[in-house]
Amino acid sequence: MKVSKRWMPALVVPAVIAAGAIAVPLQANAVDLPDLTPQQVMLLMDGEITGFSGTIVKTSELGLPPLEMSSMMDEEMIAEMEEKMPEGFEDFIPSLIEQNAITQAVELIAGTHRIRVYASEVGMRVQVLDPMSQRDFIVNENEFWAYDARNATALTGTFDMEVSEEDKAEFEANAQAQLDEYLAEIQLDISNPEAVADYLMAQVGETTEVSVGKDHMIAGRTAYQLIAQPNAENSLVESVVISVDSETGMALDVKVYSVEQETPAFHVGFESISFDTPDASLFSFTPPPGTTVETMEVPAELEAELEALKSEYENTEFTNEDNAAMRAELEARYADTPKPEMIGEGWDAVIYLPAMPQEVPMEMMENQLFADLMTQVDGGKVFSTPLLNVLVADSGEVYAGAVTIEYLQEVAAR
Amino acid sequence: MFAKSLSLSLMASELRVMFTRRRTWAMLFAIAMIPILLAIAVYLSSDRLAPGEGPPFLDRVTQNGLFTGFTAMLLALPLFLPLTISVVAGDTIAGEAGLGTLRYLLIAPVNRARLLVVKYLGTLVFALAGTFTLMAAGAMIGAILFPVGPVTLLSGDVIQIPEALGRMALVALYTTISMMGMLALGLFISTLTTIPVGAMTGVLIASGVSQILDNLPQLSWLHEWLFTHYWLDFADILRQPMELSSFGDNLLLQLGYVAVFGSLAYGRFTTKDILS
Repeated sequence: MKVSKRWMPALVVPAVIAAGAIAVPLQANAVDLPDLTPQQVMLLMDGEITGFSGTIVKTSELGLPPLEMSSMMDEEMIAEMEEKMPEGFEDFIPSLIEQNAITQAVELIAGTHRIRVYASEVGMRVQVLDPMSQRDFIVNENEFWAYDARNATALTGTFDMEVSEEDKAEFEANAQAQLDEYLAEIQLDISNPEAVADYLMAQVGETTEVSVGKDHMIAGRTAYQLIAQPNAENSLVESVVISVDSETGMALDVKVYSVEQETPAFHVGFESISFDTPDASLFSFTPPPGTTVETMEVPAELEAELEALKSEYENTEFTNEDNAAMRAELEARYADTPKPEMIGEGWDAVIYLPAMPQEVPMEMMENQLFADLMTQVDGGKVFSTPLLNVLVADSGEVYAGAVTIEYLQEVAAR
Repeated sequence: MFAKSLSLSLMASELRVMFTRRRTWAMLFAIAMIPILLAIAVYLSSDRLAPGEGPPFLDRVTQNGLFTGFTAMLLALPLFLPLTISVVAGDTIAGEAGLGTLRYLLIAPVNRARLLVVKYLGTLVFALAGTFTLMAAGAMIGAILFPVGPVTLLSGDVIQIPEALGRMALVALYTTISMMGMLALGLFISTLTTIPVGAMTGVLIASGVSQILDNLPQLSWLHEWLFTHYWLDFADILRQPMELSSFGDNLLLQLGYVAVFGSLAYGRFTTKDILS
């Protein structure tokens, strides 16, 4: 059958589009930068940036269901948690739940977000571009603002920048002295950048394999790729891949791969970036009319108390005995709170808790949602994500880490 | 020269036919009723929505009438606007064929490709008229029923009324661009049949399916290829600084749809026997 040439466009156009869809990403990989060692790339990252603006896209595939924290807790649980909070913090939990701060935090980690960032020497502004809404976070030299367009609320506060020159100089001298002492101890010449990079490599080298990947384009810029692979067989982290801008040394893109899936478990990177200093007017904020503004202030009593403490200890030099006594007192006070312990170090470190903190009501564990999140394994229940596993042993002990479930079970069995 | 003036006169006659049809005016009237009904409902309801309550933007209407247009656009985008668009797009060729007027059109020395282009541009003019009607009706009814003043953007910045009107026009333009792909799809489906209602239904179903697919997280790789994907991103115009990347992405995507379905419509329309 002869097909009329009038059908040609209908065949050619999709082919061109498909070719374009394949070729554009390919082109992004056709970059050849001068070869650098991992050390040199790390040195590059030390570059100084005075200002930039860009759009970041963050995705995570942690297998977490969208959580509505407040719906999981009933009045009774909240009341119980309130009782268990230390004095002065009774309002903490209810206010957290009311503002849904936990849910928001989980949501910020879990979902996909487009975020615009503006930064310069006079301030920083972060805009989370929610669908049909927006959250703005602004920090400038003397105040901060958090504005949520969804419910027209703003939170603000000012910082006291009244640090006297003398105090500042003293602080800086102290810090310098400590740094010098430390550097002398590890015998490192900080004025030699290559020595610093070699030192850093040696430090990470024991636990991590660092290599330089393929040069590529990202956010319209040429970039080196730094790949870190844990030298730990039990780690859930397959690799961490960082794209480093070849010119400014800024990290443009970070991907964390889990051994459990092919797509990055966590990915945050610039979609576009400009190194022009953004307009200073972006860093000032006036709440629009109709906004509920909440001002964060240090309560007067607390301030008075701090002042009193300060004057009391003004001329006291703490001796080692004093410090030891204080530590003993603190330890005695918190003796019945389970203390977390680290088992192992590096990539397969496991955090161990002898018991669930008392602040967490046991009923919460029996909640349907939690039950759905946990899977039953030998010796306990497991909450599993591609980058983190938590094992709640039948004995009530808790083991958590970026390691495989088998390894957690093994550690628990020891 | 002759051909050019012929195309122009063809375009003029197409627009004349479209805007003398009662159906066109009925649809524009219905589009205008969306913000009007919305504003009246909000005005009459006794309880005021607290900020953040209800669908996005709805709580802002009572504080600033100019927001009525944006809110109405948000409500009209999933179904009502696509419905009117599919009526117009599905009717382009199938309507003429159904009425038996298509062969008379083609008796004149007009090449078929040119007729397709004229038909397509006609539907685009309707989309433009529809979106601007919606925004204008929204601004007017809002100004009558509610206080009007400087508009608060999503970033918390406040803009004066003239700039706000400019942004409303941009939103209308954005939405018109959003409809380009769907209009091209409608043109193609319309060349397949002589029953206009069939073509209209086909386009509307396509828009519905596309919106559903866009909401399935399992198909996230497909999302940026769906013609409805950027529809609701008109909100990016309400940010300060304005986020223009969605404007560009949307335009590119819609032009892709226009190219694909335009060439399919061309292939179909120029090879088929016109019998009615």
